[in-house]
Amino acid sequence: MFIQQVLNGLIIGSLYALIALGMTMIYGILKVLHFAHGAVYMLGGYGALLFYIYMGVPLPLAIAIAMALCALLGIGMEIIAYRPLRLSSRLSPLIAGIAVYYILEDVVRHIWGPFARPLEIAMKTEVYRLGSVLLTNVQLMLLGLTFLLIFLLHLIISRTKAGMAMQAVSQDSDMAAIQGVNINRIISLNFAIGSAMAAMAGVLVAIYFHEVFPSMGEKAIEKGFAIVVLGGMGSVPGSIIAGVVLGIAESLLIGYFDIPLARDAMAFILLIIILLVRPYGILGEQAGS
Amino acid sequence: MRRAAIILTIIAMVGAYLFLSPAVTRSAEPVKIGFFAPLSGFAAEDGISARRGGELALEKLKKTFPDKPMELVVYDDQGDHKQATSIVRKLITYDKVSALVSGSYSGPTKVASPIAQEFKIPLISAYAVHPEITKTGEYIFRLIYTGDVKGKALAYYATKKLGAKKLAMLYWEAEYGASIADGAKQAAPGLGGDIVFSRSFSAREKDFGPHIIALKEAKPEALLLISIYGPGAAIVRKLKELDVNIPVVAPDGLDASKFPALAGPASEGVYVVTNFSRDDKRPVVQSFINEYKEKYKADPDMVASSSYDAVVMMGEAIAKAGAEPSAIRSALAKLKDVEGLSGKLTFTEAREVSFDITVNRITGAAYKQVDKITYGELFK
Repeated sequence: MFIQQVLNGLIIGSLYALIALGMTMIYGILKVLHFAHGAVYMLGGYGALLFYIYMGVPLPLAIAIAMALCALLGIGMEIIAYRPLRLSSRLSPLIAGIAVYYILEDVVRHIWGPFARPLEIAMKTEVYRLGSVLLTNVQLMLLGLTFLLIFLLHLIISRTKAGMAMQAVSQDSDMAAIQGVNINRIISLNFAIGSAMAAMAGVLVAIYFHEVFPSMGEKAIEKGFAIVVLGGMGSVPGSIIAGVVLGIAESLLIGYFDIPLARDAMAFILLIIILLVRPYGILGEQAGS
Repeated sequence: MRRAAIILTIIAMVGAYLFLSPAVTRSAEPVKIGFFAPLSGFAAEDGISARRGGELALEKLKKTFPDKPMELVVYDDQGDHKQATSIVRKLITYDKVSALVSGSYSGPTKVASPIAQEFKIPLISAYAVHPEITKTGEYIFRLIYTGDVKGKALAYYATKKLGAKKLAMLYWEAEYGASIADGAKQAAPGLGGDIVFSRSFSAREKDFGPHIIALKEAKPEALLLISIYGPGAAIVRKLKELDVNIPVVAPDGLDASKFPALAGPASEGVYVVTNFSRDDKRPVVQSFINEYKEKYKADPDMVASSSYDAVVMMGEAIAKAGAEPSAIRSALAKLKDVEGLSGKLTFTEAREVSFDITVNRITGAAYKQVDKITYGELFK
C-alpha cells in the first residue's frame, strides 16, 4: 500500500511540477507570479480535445499543435498584459495576469459551456502488476512524457545559448542587456517554453482525469504558487522537487490519515512547515548571497 | 387654449389607461412559480436537467389547465448557499411569486427554506434530501426521500440483497452526502452490516487514488458510493484501475445521464437506488421520457423527473387554490394520488413522500430497473 500511495503521489506530483515550471521560469525573469498560466494550462486541455476528438488529428500531433498555439498565446500575453507594465509596481502585472486569466476562462465557458467535457483517448487502459503494486499504461506514459519534457528543458537551459541568456537575464537583466542580450526576445522565449509546458500539463491532466472544464486552471494555479514558493522562488530544480514532494505528501497524508481537511489545504500546510524550516524554499537562496 | 386641450386629452388618456388596465391584465396575469437550480458551476448538468423537467411540467400544466395560466421564473443559484439566499428573496419580493420550487441541492435548499417560511410562500424541494429542510415549517414540502431514509435503503440493499457484511463508504462532504452517510451509518448495524471504511471527499477533488488505495486495504465486500456524477465517475474509474471489484451501491446522485457518459465502461454494474424508473410502464412516465428526448436530444434522469413532479404538484395546487400562497399551501397538503413520475404522489403529515424506491443497475450505459424496495419493507 505504501509503494502504491507513493507511486500515485509521484504521478500527480510530476504533473504539478510541469504546471509550476513555467510559472517558476517566468517568476525568475520577470519577478511576477504569472496568474494567467492557469488559463494557458486549461486551453492546452481544450486544444487537445478540439484537435483530437473533434477534428480527428492523431493524439501526438494534437498535443504538438496545442503546445505550439499555447506558446504563441504565452508570447502574446506577455506583450499585451505584462510588457506595458514592466516598469510599474509589481502588483500591476499581477492584477493584469489575473484579468487575463478570468477573461480567457469566461471566453471558454461561453464557447464550450460550463460543463466538464469528457476526453477519452483511444489507448485502452491496461493494468500492469509488479508484485502487489498496480500501474497502468496511461500512468507510465504520463510519467515518461513529464520527465522527458523536464529533461529537455534542462538541456535547453544549460546547453544552449538561449538558455544561458535566460539564466543571465534572470540573474541580472540590466547587466545581461549591457552584454548584448536581447531582453525582450529572451522574455518571449521564456513565455513560449513555459506556456508550451503548461499546455502539455493541461493535456496530460485532461487525459489522466478524462475531462476538461473551464475552471480547471484555478486549482492548478493554487498548487503552482505553492510549488513556486516551496521550490525557492524561481529555482527550476527546486520546483521539480517541490512538485514531486507535494504530490507524494498529499497522497500519503490522505491515504493514511483521514484528515477532515480539504486536500488542497495540504499544499499550504506543507508550504508553511517548509518555510519555517527553510525560509527561502527548498533550493532558494537568500537575496544577495 | 389649444395647449390646455392637448394636456387635458393626454391626462384623460393616461387616466383611462390606468383605470382600465388592471381590470384587463388581472384576468390574464399568470400565477408565478419561482424556480431555482444550479444552471452553471460544478453542478450545471444537474441544474439544466432540473430546469428541463420543470419546463416540461409547465407545458403539461398548460394543457391540463388552459384557463389557469402559470409561469416559471427561473434563476441560477450556482449550487451556492449565498446565491440561493439572495435569489429566493428576489423571487419573493421583486418577482412576487406565489410559490417556489427548488430544483437545487440540499445546501441551497436548506438556506432557502427559512426565507420561504418567513414570507409564508409554499416551497417544494424536488430532490434535496437533507432532513432539516422540511422541518423548517409547514410551508416546506419535499418530493424525495430524506437523506437518512436513503442511507438506510443503501445499507439495506447492500446487506440484505447483495449479501455484503463489510461495507465501505465514500461520501461527498456536502449536506447531500453527509446526511445519507449518517443514515447508512445508523442503519448498518441493525441490518447486520459493518462499516469498515468511511471517508468523505470534496467536489473539487480529482485524484481519488489515495482514498481507494486505502479502501482496498480494508477489504470491504461492497462500496456505498454517496456522490454526485462528477466525482462519482472519477471514483468508479479509479476502482477499475486499482482492481477493486466489489459491488458499488449509490444513491440518486448517480442517477444522472452524465454519469455513464463521464465514467465510460467503469459505470457498468453500478446499482443506483433512486425514485425514477425508466422501465415504469405507466403512460405518464413513458410520455415524459419521449417528450424529453425529443425536445432536448438527451436522456432524462432523476433530477429532471423529480423537478417535473414538483412543478406538477405545485401546478395542481395552484389550479385549485389560485394565486394566494396560503391557499396554495393548504391545497398542496390536501392533494391525493397525483399521477407523478416517482409514483402516486401524496404528502405525508410531515410533508414528505412514501412511494416505492427503485433500484436501477447500469447496463450498457443505460439505467435498467432490477429491484424495488417498498416503504413498508424498509421500515418493518
